[in-house]
Amino acid sequence: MTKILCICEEVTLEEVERVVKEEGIKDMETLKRRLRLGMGPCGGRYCINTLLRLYPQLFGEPARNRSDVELKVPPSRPPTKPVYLYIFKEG
Amino acid sequence: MEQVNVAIVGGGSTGLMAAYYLAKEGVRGIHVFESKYLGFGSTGRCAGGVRSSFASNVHVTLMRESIRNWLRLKEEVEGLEFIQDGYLWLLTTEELVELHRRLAAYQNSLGVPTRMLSAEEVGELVPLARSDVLAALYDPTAGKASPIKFVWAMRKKLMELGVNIHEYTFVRGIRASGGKARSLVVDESNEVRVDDHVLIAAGVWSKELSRDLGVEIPIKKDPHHLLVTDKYSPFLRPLVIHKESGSYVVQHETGSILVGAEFPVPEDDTSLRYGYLRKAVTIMSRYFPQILSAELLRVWVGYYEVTPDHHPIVDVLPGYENVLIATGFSGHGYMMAPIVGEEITSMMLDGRPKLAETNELRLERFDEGKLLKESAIFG
Ligand SMILES: Cc1cc2nc3c(=O)[nH]c(=O)nc-3n(C[C@H](O)[C@H](O)[C@H](O)COP(=O)(O)OP(=O)(O)OC[C@H]3O[C@@H](n4cnc5c(N)ncnc54)[C@H](O)[C@@H]3O)c2cc1C
Ligand code: FES
Repeated sequence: MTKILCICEEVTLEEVERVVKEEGIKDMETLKRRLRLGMGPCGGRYCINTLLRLYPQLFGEPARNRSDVELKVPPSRPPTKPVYLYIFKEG
Repeated sequence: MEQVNVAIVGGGSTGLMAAYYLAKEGVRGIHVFESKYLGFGSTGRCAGGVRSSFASNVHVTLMRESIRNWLRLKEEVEGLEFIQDGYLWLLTTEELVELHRRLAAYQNSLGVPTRMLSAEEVGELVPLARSDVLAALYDPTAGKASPIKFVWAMRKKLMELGVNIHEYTFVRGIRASGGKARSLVVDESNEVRVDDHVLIAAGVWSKELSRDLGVEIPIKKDPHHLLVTDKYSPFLRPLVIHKESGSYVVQHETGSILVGAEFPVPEDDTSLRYGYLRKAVTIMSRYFPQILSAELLRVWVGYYEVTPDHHPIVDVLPGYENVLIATGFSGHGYMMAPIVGEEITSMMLDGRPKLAETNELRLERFDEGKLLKESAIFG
């Protein structure tokens, strides 16, 4: 069964495991950019948390009691929710 | 002590391209040191525009050659994209039209086939709404290349070629003696011996590394905003610039739309400005109202690395025969990286670059007051 980790960007758990293994990716920041996971319209609200839960399984290290910085959890960029560009139009 | 032959400081487009051309020449022991993740600096924040329609001989010539390399890279590197959909400069005043007529003639004389389009012809190329466009300059050899795809395709390729990539590895300083760099101090205090060359390709941060060696390089950080929308079906092929304001819009292969605008802020200010969003959206939506119904996903700020004459520095660091530096690319270091990487390789292996124009990018021009001239410095 295919497990989708990031709904917005359609990234599967299988793909995540593959790049971690084959391309030697060791952190969440790099993973995000490599697979676009977390870069969809929800801003990673869903998949980044799932990824955190899978952290020990993926990277072979515990995630408990470690800070976001240490775990390289991607910071979210504004806006927190997608907004139409027309709200910025003047005149 | 760990030992390397070539140490490249900086995992942006410049460092990655230098590593690639060196590896292709069979150089071994190449190590790239990146303090964060690859593309953390300006590279991962750029718009991905590639063009040779510039206004100085150095820029036009180097970029003409860089585009040749982009086309080859597309064949050589799996996953790297370069889409030659052109650049279109919308011209809204008579003066701009006249200037660009002359620019086109100049670019043609250097082998770049830009041409002027009438307002009508512009309308055939892009779904333009507004009628204050008098004419446009079109560069059919220009294009776009997603920086994210570039970084990951290169990471994989370099690893296959045996290049060592050290992510999250900060280069604290370069130790030198007798006019040569001997080692790097990495992270807290690890020392890495360097047997051949060091390349400083650390973007705006190159200044600190060269200062550490007693050389001041005249680059400034120039923060620029960019926004990206969700993905939409393709509506715009070329990258379009509204020349009068410096605003631009590009839709990438993924469908995402990026909109840039000139919105000057102080050197160290990377806070997000609402004013930028207003300016970018207001100007570009006059020409492409379609963008108004696009949803904004992210906004960020990255740096242009600006020198006094808006031309880069590609040189041996004065006083250190085995240290090279490549930075100061303003808003076009990404597009130029393929030629710069190749030139760095020639400088390391043959002692000189292949193109005469690269020699004009020496640091000494700032002391001698022989600055280069450029008038078209956007996206
Ligand atoms: C909004 C915006 C739009 C742009 N649009 C375009 C465009 O369309 N086309 C174009 O060609 N250019 C564009 N540019 C410019 C382009 O992004 C840069 O010129 C180019 O990316 C510079 O690449 P670089 O590799 O030299 O530097 P960077 O990409 O900045 O890379 C330097 C790297 O060095 C690392 N580093 C720094 N210090 C150290 C250290 N001490 N130890 C280890 N690592 C270190 C940094 O983390 C960084 O990743 C744009 C820039 C911005 C901000
Ligand atoms: S689920 Fe991954 S970005 Fe939305």
